[in-house]
Amino acid sequence: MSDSKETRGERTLGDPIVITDGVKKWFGDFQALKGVTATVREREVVVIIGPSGSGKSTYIRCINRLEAHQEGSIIVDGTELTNDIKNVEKIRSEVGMVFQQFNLFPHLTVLDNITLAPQWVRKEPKAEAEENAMALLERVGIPDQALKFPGQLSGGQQQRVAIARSLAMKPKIMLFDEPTSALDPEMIKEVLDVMQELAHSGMTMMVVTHEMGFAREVADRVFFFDYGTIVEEGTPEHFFTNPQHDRTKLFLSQIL
Amino acid sequence: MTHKIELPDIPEYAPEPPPHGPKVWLQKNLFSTPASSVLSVVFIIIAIGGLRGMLGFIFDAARRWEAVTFNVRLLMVRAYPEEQLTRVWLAVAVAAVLIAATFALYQVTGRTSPRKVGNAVSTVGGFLITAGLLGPWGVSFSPFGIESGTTFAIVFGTGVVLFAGGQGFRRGMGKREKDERLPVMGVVLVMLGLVLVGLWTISLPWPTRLADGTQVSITQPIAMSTRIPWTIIFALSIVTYLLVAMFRKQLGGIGKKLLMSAWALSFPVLFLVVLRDPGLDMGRVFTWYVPVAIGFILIGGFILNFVAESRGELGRVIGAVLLIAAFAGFLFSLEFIVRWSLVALALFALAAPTFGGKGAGRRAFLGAWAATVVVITFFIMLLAAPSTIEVPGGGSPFGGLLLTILLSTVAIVLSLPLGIVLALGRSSRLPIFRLMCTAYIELIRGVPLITWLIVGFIMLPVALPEGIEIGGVARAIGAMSMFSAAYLAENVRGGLQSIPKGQYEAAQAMGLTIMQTTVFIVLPQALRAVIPALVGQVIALFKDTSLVTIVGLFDFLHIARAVIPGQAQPFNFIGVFREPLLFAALVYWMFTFTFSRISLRLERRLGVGER
Repeated sequence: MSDSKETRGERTLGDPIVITDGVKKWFGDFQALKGVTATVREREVVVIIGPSGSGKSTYIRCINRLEAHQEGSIIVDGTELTNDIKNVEKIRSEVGMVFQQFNLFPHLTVLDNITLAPQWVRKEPKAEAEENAMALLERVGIPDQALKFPGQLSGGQQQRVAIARSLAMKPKIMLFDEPTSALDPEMIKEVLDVMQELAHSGMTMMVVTHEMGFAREVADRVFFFDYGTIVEEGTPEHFFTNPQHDRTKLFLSQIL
Repeated sequence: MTHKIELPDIPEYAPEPPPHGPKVWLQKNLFSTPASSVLSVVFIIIAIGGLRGMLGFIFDAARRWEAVTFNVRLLMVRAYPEEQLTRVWLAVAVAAVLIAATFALYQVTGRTSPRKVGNAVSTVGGFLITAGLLGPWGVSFSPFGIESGTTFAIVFGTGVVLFAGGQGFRRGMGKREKDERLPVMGVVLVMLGLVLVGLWTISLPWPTRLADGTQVSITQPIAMSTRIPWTIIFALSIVTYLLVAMFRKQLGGIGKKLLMSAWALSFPVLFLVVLRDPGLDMGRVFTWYVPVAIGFILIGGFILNFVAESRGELGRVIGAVLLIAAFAGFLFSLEFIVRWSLVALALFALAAPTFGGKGAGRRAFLGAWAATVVVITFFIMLLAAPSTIEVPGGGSPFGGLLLTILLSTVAIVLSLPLGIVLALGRSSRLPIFRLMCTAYIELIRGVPLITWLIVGFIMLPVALPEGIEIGGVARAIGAMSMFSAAYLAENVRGGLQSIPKGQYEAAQAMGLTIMQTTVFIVLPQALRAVIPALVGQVIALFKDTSLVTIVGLFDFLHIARAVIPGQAQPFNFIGVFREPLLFAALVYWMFTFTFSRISLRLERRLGVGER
């Protein structure tokens, strides 16, 4: 990518890790993705913005095959996503995902939420998994909530638990699907802070969000989605100060 | 966050107490509108009429309640030999101790306020006072040889004492509503203790044999052979409860595992060994059952270890081959134990790639396999051995309430897993599973239970290969479990549908397999969501056990309904059917009411932390 910066903060971008080429996806007769081609590099933070219904959520859900694309190719860390269950399992264990509605397991404590997958997918011994989980809770700032149930936490705390839960699988890539859209305004910051810290630590991240501040400060590149495709992409400076496409200008004029 | 808003100290701002008192309550609850006033009056009159009728029935001089007391053993255990009754007492004691330990360890019961307890006691007292005032006491009755005036005095007096006692207790302990300091279990134990005191003191008519062999009725407390065991069981339960409650912290997770194993073991051991006393052929045990079991554990363990190691396609292929082999085993007249062990091996092999684990996990998985083989061998070995408990007329030693409890507990334990599997199958993405499970559910549900019982009794023996016999009780259990599983499956399916899509997506995104998602995420939430429906099904099944009378088993209701009214010797109870029926209704109600109370508690407890 010629217009992406090589560094941002202390990060150095590495090799391409997510390569999507001409990805198309239909829901019945409705075409959600109309050939999305993009490459994300290791340690890169990509923020995806766009109006609702533009296909941005569908796009990142295709990357860990929560949705199956019908045409084009998606290659994650050297493995192509096909119907082969083995490839799907491998990619899912390397790609973490954080959802708008948190999707924590309400019947398990915070600690059990985090240790479940490491124990059963990565086959970590229980003690080791719990040690890691506590370290992650420390990292997202809520170690004292470990034995509570999700329903007893605030939305911001729940989303931070969800982030810790994804990190427990030691993913190479993290996908965020509107992580702050279901939160009260005063809780958005605590989640964004965690995400910013994660970005600085060198995690490859693809973030669908409406938080323009986050995009401006943290993103290496911004994808603007509409009509099921990337209308415009570029660095935050380029994107927010000098947008080229009329559709982008209209969108920015409405939200800024 | 915790700062309080200080109200200014002005009299106008001081909160006024809401209007209260009996007049307000009556107005609000009974006479709020003209229509509701009419309804209230009509229903109060109906309720009074019903109560009067019921009291008149119970205390009528023509009632022969001794038909119940004389036949208590028949109702409870039917013809179980008197000299072997210790076995039944042992079973009851084990169950009571396990229940007490469970309540203590899981803190099933919480705490309650003195206000609630006092009000409950007063309510019972108030009911008795009403009964005392409304009862048709002028009419002829003295069923137990007591004057009607005395009966009135006893009912009314007890009511007054309870009412006053309840209110006094409430006032004495303070009446703050949120003050929850009485353990519910303590209250329950006091109630059971009072029942026990009643056993020792209240005189009822019992039969007794005179020196010349004739039987007569005498009025006294229940026999020592009943009083002493109940007292011991009560004491044991209290001691267990207190001990476990005291050391709950130290017992922790190990205690729970031990208790669960004890529950799992107690059922087969009590029903198959203690109560049935099977005559085992020891030679065959050591030359056939034990070697076969060891062979399965070793060879099966080796295969499972291999499958778990090569997680993936090869394991699934081996599992499928084993499953086909297992079903083929049913076509040839293989021994029961070989057939079922093969089925279990195939299922374990299918689960091995997912749950096989590594290191300690693998050892636990292989341990589970060995335990499964032992359990299967144990069951088949004991079921194949005939019971040595001799009852007049031969056949199963189980009858009366004992049979009712046996049928319902075993059928519930068997039908729950079957129902869950059917529900999952019906929600499966694979059309062949969906079709098979749907067909099963719709077929079984579409035909009355009585039909399935008759099918089990008349058709099954014809369909089974020669040389294999299944006892009547086992056939009834089979039919009832299959029937109940179909209903449970629909309940569980309702629970499955209540799980939001996001739960599946989160599990998928973390790389959990479909089976792991089902076991760890979906089922725990789905079952929790349908506890009321499941308990409803358990209650229905408990009452449906009375249908086995149609195939010649002597369950509790059958004895109350048909056996007692047919007795001519040694006391003539011919045509006395209303008293035993009313008693049977009371017993059924006591069981089902207890189920529903426990399920309410369970629901509230499991709801902790949700939403």
